[in-house]
Amino acid sequence: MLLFPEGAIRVQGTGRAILEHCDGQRTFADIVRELQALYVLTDAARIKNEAGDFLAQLREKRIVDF
Amino acid sequence: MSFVPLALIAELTHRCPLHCVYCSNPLELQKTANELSTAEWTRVFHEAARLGSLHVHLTGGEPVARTDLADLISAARAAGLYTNLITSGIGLSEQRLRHVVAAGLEHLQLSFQDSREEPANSVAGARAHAYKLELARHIREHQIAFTVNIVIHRGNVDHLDEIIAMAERLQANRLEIAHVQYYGWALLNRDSLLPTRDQLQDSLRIIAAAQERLRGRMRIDYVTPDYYARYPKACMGGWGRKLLVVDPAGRALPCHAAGVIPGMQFDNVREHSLEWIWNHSAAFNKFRGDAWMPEPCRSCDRRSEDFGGCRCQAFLLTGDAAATDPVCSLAPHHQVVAASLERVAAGSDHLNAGGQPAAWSYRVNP
Repeated sequence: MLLFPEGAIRVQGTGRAILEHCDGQRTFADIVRELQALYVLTDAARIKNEAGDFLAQLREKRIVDF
Repeated sequence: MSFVPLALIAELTHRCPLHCVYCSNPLELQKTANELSTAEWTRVFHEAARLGSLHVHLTGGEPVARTDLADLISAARAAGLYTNLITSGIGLSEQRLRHVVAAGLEHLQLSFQDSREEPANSVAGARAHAYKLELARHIREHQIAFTVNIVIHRGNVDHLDEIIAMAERLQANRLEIAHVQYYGWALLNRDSLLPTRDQLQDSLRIIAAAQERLRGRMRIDYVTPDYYARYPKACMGGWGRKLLVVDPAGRALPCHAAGVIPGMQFDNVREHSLEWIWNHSAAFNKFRGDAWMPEPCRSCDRRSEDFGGCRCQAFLLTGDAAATDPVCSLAPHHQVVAASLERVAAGSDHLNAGGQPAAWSYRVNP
């Protein structure tokens, strides 16, 4: 469950995996590299694009900062 | 059908250094001597979390007036609740701010009364504005979510551009712009607070433009004035459906203002578990579902969206808490709301019998 001011979103699967890598220390490149190592059967460029889109959507809602 | 109180609204105290003319607290404030202890609140936080609550909103009065605030924040976090402090900022020194952040505070919501100092202080009945601006700078030194909250009304709605610019300067993540809701102290002052229809239209335009311009930088949430709406608001997301208020003395309420409804007994967390109160008490079940609804609500398609509007407003404006909320254009009592908007349009609403502007009724301290 992702909690933020006045709201909550249940995050599962890959969304959850992406967020679990967001610790305020890792860079976007670090996170993508680790996810690529985790999901070796998925196209690396696709992982980068989809993780980027997912985080951008959360940033637009002011739920994550980067 | 079972409901979950997604958020607990914890009114820690009714003490407050400000005297805002639109305060949402009840006219009958709870006294300091009756306030729940640290241990009692800690139990309430754990009981709420077990019921499924995700958020706790620490509010008041002014919650900073509680000397055990940092302990209460630690307790709420230990219960697993996302912890939000709703404050005027008065009493929150740099050192206390560090303490509450270290205790695990995740979100701080700081209220402002205006973008301009003199009217801000006049509405608050205290010299508070400059202090808030200074505090906001210190808040940004910490890694917490920061909301600026402003209540708008006839006197400050024309400053919206300035207010939005102020929130940007203060680097808020979120700006909450809420029209006054007319309960408690605000209802006493309604005739000096209701905006005109033109002011409302301008404000909608300004907010829509700012939301577009600030997308991804500052989120703007907007609470409309229900007097001008065609249909009522789903007050509290429906009675006993999503939100649970506990007042300073431990009374559990489905809504901040519910204490005004006569003939109802609101049970106390000192005598019952929160689980029993939420699921089984007469008060929380009173307006659940639609069996209690009068026409036109009972056969209305919107009854599962707005639940017939606000029970407290229905009581305050019609004398009957089970009536259709009179802000609804379909309500049999809609004329009471229409009449007050006609007085606003005629420009005569805020004048007393002698033709002079009515004096403010300032919120007092318990």
